[in-house]
Amino acid sequence: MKKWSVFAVLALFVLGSLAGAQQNLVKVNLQLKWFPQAQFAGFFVAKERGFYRAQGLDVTLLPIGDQSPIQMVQSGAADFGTTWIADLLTARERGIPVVHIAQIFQRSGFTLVALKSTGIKDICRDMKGKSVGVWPSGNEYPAVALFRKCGLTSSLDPRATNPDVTAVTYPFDPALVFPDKVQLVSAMIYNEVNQIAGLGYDESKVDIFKLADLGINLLEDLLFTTERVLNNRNFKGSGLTGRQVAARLIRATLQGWNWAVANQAETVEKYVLPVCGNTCKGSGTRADAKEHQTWQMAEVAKLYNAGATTKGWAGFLVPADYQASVRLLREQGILTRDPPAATVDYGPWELATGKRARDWR
Amino acid sequence: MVFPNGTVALKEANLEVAPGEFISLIGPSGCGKTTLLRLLADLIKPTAGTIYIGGKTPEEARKARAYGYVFQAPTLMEWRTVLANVMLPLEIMGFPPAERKARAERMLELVGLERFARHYPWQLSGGMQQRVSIARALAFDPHLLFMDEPFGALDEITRENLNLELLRLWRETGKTVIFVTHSIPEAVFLSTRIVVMTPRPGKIEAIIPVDLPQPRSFETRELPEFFRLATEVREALRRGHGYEVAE
Amino acid sequence: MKGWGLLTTGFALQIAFIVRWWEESEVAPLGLRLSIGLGVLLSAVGLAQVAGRLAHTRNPLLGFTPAALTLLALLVAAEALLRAYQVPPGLVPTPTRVLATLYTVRDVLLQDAYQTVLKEALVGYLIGCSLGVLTAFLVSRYLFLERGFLPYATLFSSIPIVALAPVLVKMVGIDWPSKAAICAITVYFPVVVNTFRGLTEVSPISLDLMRSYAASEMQQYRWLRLPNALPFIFNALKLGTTLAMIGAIVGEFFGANGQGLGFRIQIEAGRFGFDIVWAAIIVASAAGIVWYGLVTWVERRLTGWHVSFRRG
Repeated sequence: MKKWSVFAVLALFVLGSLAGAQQNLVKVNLQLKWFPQAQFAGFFVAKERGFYRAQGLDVTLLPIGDQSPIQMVQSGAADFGTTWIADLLTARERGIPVVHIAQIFQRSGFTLVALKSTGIKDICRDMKGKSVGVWPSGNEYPAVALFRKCGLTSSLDPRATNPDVTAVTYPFDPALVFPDKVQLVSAMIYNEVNQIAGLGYDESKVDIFKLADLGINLLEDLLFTTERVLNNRNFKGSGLTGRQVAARLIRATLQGWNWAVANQAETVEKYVLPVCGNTCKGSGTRADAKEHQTWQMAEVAKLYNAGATTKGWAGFLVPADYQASVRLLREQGILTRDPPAATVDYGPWELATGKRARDWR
Repeated sequence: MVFPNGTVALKEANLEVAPGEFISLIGPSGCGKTTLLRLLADLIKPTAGTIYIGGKTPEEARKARAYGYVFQAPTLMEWRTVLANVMLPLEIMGFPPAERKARAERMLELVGLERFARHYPWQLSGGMQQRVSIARALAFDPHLLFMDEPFGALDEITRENLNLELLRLWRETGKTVIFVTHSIPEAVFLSTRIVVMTPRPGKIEAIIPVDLPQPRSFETRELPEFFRLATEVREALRRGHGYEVAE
Repeated sequence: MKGWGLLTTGFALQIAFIVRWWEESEVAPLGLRLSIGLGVLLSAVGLAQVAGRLAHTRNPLLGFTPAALTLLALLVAAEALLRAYQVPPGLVPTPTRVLATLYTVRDVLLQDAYQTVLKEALVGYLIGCSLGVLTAFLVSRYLFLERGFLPYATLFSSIPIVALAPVLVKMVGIDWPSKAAICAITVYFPVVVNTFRGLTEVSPISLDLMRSYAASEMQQYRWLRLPNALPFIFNALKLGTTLAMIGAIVGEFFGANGQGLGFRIQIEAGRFGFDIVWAAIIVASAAGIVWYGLVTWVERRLTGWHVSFRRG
């Protein structure tokens, strides 16, 4: 996987630099949250169909494994990134000046999956003394929040010596731990759920707990950058300000997403399968690549086409949703104080869409 | 004795040794004196010929632990104290613990090193280390003592002192000693018989009896007889080398 | 005494700033930053003079002083500068913050250390070392092993076996045995190679001596080869403590069962809890140093005769 990503970065870089040289485009590095897959369909479309180029941007999409995209953006290895809200807010609380600029997914896709045979019907009631599989680097927060809400301690908490729930970290493939090592496993509704089905545990054999249904509705894929980038008066010598670049990036990205959601089959065929390489099948799943990505595209479309998007406000962070996420994280002690106002900046989104945040009803 | 590459190391070697004798093997480097000693000790095997030690083959003699061997270097185990080094053969040969210690202490007394029993080898001079190795060779009371240029690396004064001490030991213990050297005075001073060997191929040139009075002392080296014998040995060595013997 | 004076003045300047800026959340003004700079400079010059004066001391306590003062100076300077420039704790936590965190999460870190050091690293280490010594015996005894196996052992002992960690975690599973396996394998090869050298680098004349005693092969090993090999074995055992710690911690990066220093470092680094990361590193270092010290102590007891311990 590592080898593949290096190769992909190189390939994208070479292509990008050729195009950039010709049209004097602004080079932008965008850090995705995971390996290439339909989860990022809108970005691939925006790049390959020339939406970014039309905005004067030469965007390089960087894949990542289970490291934190925030680290990449904070260190300057990428200018923008996608991540989840809990990850962003905790980093902000620890002094990393990251800023939310657009909300791609309007709904949470995080689920926890258990075999029916384990008898886990109610996570709060039945998980004491059990194990849960999580991915590290900020992807564990939804599970942490749920257990805290249930009043259960977990080994993800460095202050709990005899945790009620053991958190097991594992590299990508749920088959490594499920169902032998953990009774409950993290699964994105658009990815691992299908992989688990591929292991022979379809919906007749497993219970899928959507965290949103359990009151843990934490926002997921969002676009962020740093204050340093936003306040840059001359982004990489392009003559554009950081805000302008951010606005152009948001505009083209939303354009890409709208196109992808409207043309799902073509998107998968032309823009996802050629770049997703050996992660197309999900890690370790026995599913067919095209089948898996087509299914994932459909699931991801549901997360994109929800809430604000259905009202024509794609990319908008609904203040009430944001406040709900903050309140939840504070209640569960994951955040110790309210994030500063500068954590969310509607400016670039307003510039990109011509709408004004305060007009939201 | 023929090495696999065809080199003949030792051609004719006929020698009978009586119990209690002190035999020196002398000759220039490459004459096979060390080879002969190693054959006797069964550290190497002969290609032809017969050796008997008290009616046994060298292998039988070795397995019966019939000899102690003193090497050119002291070959002490650096992880053992002086006392423990002397006890080494006794441990290997399965002596009871109490006897091991008693014997080793007696041997150290014999070589005058009882005060250094708890020292480690590196804390001792080269001459003292070689005395420890002699004590070790005598510890299990073998009839035979094989010594391969044991004092070759020592300075002249130390060597003469150790020669004297060795003679005392020989007298007190009554061992049969086969002693390899390339020093003519040493051979004459120590031996009852000197075996002069010549190189390429190694063979015995002469066997010279030494009838200097016993016990020998520093004064022995001043006797005319000592010089006569030394000259005789030197001439035999030259003959073996093919030099003209000066009149 | 001039050195001590400079050192104290330098420390005082920096500590005064730290106290003054304890609650602030702004970057310190230029004047204060310059005073820190002066403090760092004075303490560095003072330290150099003190160290120079203590260079020839025979008192072990005084001999240790320059090293301790250097650490203290670095910590004080780091604390002052991090506070002056308001470096986010999510990037580099200040030393006091790390120490405070170390205290508050000590119970969990001790549990983690129990898992990582005693279960994973130590079990793997013991298995790897004993198998290594056993293998070296066989290799020194049978020529076909020396020809057929030893070249690979030499090769493997010089490559970073820890790269196998993800493979082993996948093969053996995410529980502690997979980490113990990583430790065992990383430790194994250097032990084989070193023990083999120790068993075979015996002077031919010593072998003749053993032969002259009609010593059996087992006796030869018991009385000559094994003691001769001890210093070599201990070199590998000391190296092995470090390798085992690395193996266990890195192994946990590729999957862990909710406990362990590597697990903690990975989880907290991913969520910018670097105060906990540093606290875990301190615990890991302390455990590593104690372990190394124990092996060195045993080595001194068993091979005190060796040339490396001789004095005078």
